[in-house]
Amino acid sequence: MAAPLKAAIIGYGRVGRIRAKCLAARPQDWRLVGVSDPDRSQWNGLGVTYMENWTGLLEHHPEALFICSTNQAMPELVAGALERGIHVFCEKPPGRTLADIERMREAEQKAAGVKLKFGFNHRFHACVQEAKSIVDAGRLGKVLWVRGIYGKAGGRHFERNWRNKREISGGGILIDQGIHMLDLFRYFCGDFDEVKSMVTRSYWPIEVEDNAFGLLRNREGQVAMLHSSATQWQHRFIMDIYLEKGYLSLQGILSSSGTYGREMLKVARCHYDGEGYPLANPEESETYYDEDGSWQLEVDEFARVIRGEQEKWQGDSLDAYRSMELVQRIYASDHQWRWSQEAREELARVQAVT
Amino acid sequence: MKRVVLRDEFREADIRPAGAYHQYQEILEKECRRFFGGRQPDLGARCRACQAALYSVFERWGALYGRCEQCLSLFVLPQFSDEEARNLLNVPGMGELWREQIINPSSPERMRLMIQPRIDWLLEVKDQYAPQARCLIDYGSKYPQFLEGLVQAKEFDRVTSVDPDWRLGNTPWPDSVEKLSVGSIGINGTDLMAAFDVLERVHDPAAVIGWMKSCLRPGGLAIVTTALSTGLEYLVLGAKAPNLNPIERRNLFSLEALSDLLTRHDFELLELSTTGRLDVELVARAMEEHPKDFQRTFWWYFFHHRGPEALQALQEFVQQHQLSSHCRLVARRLGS
Repeated sequence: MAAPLKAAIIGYGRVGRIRAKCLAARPQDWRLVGVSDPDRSQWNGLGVTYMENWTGLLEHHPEALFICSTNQAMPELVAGALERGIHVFCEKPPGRTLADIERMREAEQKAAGVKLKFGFNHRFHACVQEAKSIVDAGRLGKVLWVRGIYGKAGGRHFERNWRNKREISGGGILIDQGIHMLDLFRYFCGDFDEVKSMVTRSYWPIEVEDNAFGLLRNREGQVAMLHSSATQWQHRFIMDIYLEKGYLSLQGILSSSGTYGREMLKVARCHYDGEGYPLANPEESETYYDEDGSWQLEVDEFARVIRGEQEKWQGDSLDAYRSMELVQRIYASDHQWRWSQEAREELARVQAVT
Repeated sequence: MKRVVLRDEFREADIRPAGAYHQYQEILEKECRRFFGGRQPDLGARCRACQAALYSVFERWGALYGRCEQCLSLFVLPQFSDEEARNLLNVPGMGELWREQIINPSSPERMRLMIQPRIDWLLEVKDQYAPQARCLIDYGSKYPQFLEGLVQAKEFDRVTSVDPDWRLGNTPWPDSVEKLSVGSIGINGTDLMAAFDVLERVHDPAAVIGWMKSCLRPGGLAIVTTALSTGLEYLVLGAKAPNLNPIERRNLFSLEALSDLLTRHDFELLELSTTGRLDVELVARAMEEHPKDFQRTFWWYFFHHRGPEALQALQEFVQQHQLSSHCRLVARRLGS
């Protein structure tokens, strides 16, 4: 049996601690050799080396880095690790801009055989995996449209949170939370070519958006409708997937905060009248899930990828790029949005390059 | 592990025409009283799930039901063989009554409410957990339409029915479904095994689970439905449960006992749901038939002083919290 992979974590906040638990749960796969975090108050409890600066971790020769830091730090950290031949698991979002993710992808291309995976853990939630299996089986026909609502109430000191400082985060609720929903849209429908949007800062005294509304269409004619919100006073995750012969509705998602309700997948198959017209309100089945295994499944997949046991993986750098591209297109599409011009310029630059 | 709640308009009369079903039960009760009348209950019998002692709880049609003092499962005492059960049911006219006056008239609704959903469920399970599965065994088959539907789905190379319900008689059988007996099934070769409403009516349910395990290949799936002792219907009504009969519901496991039993047989539970939708309807009916037994209880008050919305909410609640008296489960065989 192969020796456990030596891993280190950069950024030991809430998400870093979740990843540490995932590593500890698989001692056959992982050995945590160090953690870095500039906040000294985080330095307790794990029994591993702590560093203020991530380069100090290199003395422990980690084979994989889990990057759970703020968005603006990601490109340098990811590229630096890849250049040193260290596999990288980087949390979403993939930086702040398309330029950030481009830099990471360039480093990946130069580092042959070194793996880069981004944390889009929602794909690994049980309700999403089961929905994907039902859609892929094809018994309900083709996906016609999807509709996603993902929102939270902001929270205490939300206006002071680094996630709302554009220089650090690159955007507001859309790039922070809405990007999960965009990633799920892509998971079920593939890439989208056409984007229309309205982006607002309607309540919070912040420089970035607190609501984003997006309407997306792909070449198959499938339409996706997004509402990403930081004024959703009742936390909510809903994703409806309507197909030719029925529908799925994902409602609630088990999260570390536990505030999005019970995770449930509703499935219904159409019934038809004598002339073949679908009848309204078909019988539904509701499946409830009691455990969130998404974080662990993601880390397990990363171990298999590094060991060469799995060639393709969820959250590769192209997935990350495409989701970030959708974020920027939503910003760009609303000409009234204060950062729209910047997003348009960035997209134009990318188009010019490609 | 996940659990499922079904929302539909399922009513007992949809699948059991009241008059004919009443007649069927009358014959069955008479035969049961004759069969159990001369027998002494074996109060030293042990629980078939956990081997703990049983204590007697109520009598039904001449048979005693004993409850496990640890896991709350219910079993008929005295025990009797599968052959004795079959002989008891095989009285003149019983099969015809069952086929021609209960099953056939309700066939379209059975198809819509029971059989097609089972086909859909089984195919969904296959899609999710065993997309490569090519062979299926249905143990104790009750419905040729179910097998026909699976054949038409073209998802399996082989669909086999083992020991189908004798009451099917000469009901037309799908050509491509082979009928076999328990002894002729090889070991470790089957991808999926279905056993719908079997565990509650066999002499040794643990042996059936063990046999299913031996037939399945490692990683293969058992897909099971059965009645539960811990559902609203049986916990509230006991001997007054309208559909309780000591031949076809001789073993009623508790949810926990069933789960433990499968785990002890090296199965990993992937789904355990109580999808029964008739509990509230059956409790309401029993209260009307036996008012003196329930007056002054919480349930009497609830059923008589709250409207249909409350009753519907109760039925959804018992499904959501695994308190309905009929369960379905999916379990994966572990080991090599």
